[in-house]
Amino acid sequence: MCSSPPGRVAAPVGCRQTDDVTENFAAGAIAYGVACVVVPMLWGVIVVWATNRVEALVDRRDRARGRVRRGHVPRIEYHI
Amino acid sequence: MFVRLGVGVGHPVFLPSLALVGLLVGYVAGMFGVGGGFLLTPVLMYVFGVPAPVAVGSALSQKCGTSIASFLKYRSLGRGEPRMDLVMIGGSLIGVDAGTRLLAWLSGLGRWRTAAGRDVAIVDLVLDVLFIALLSGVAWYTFRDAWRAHGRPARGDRTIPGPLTRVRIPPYVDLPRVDLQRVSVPVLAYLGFVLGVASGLMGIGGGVLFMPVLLYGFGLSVRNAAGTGILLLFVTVVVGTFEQALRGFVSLKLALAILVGSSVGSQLGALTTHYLPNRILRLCFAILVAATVVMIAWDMARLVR
Repeated sequence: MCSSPPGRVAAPVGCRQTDDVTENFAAGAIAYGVACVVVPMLWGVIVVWATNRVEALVDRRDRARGRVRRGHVPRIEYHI
Repeated sequence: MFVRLGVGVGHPVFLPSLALVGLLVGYVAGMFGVGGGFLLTPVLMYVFGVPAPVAVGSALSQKCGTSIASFLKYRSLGRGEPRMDLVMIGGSLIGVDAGTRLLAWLSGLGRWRTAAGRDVAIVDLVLDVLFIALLSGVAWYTFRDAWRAHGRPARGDRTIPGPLTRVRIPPYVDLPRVDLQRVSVPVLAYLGFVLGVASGLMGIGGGVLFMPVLLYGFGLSVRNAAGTGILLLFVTVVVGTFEQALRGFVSLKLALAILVGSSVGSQLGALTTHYLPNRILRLCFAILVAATVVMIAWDMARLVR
């Protein structure tokens, strides 16, 4: 019951905080911080890879049928 | 399908509804070419009742996925000026740390009792005011820009040096890829700092602030401006997420649920651009941002009343 979400260095109310516990929380917090960065990034890389594959497949199919390349969906360049 | 998000979110949240919000935000992002962070943080706060610091941190974590995708896609296009990003990164990293510390400090201020006897978190009120100010500016600037674009010939990729290029504070840096000479390094560094503070404090990628500065402050073309901030935004978001996670402000479940939805939504939004002209898209965007301002203002009035 005295566990705390990763990143919370302070122990919850009613829990005794020892040096060991604080160290564990700190290590857990760092691991959680890395996961919060790396996992979404991995997902982003997978999405880019998948969309590139789909675009390549569409290109190949169009070329095989002798059609003019349809081109990518135009990316809006007006970023806010 | 209800999950407990932890990190201070007491009530369970319906996971598919988060993915749906991600889909909608991603759709808007793909349709208008925006990051969507400025929409996501308020929606998480007001629709899902997520505490402000967790909404900010989780929105930043979600942007780790979207910004790496933008970075990888734009890298191949070779647009923009990477030197500008590199000069600004130092200021941005200090800024994101300052913004995160400011958010933690505001969270620690506790609650303010209104005249009606209702307790309101001070951090919520501060973020409300900041979002209203920021989004009002964006809505006005986008609307004005779209209005003026009517009948105006496209200027292409030509840079027309803006007022910030005339600031004379040494040292200077040349930016040959966007045809700018002797641009003040301190000006760039301080702009990076402001951008970082906005990321750390509000959970936005910073593009919402950066684009007007590049377009009107430095006079870059739209294409070059879009390609310029990508590396900077990516690094800022990564560092900001890590720091927010250390402070317990990030729910990874929340971020991933939104990211999955937004990945699909952004592709659908990009398809929509086939059917609407750019000027109409900008006008629609201005209306959407104005509606977000009204939503936040209404919620704020409800809290304070």
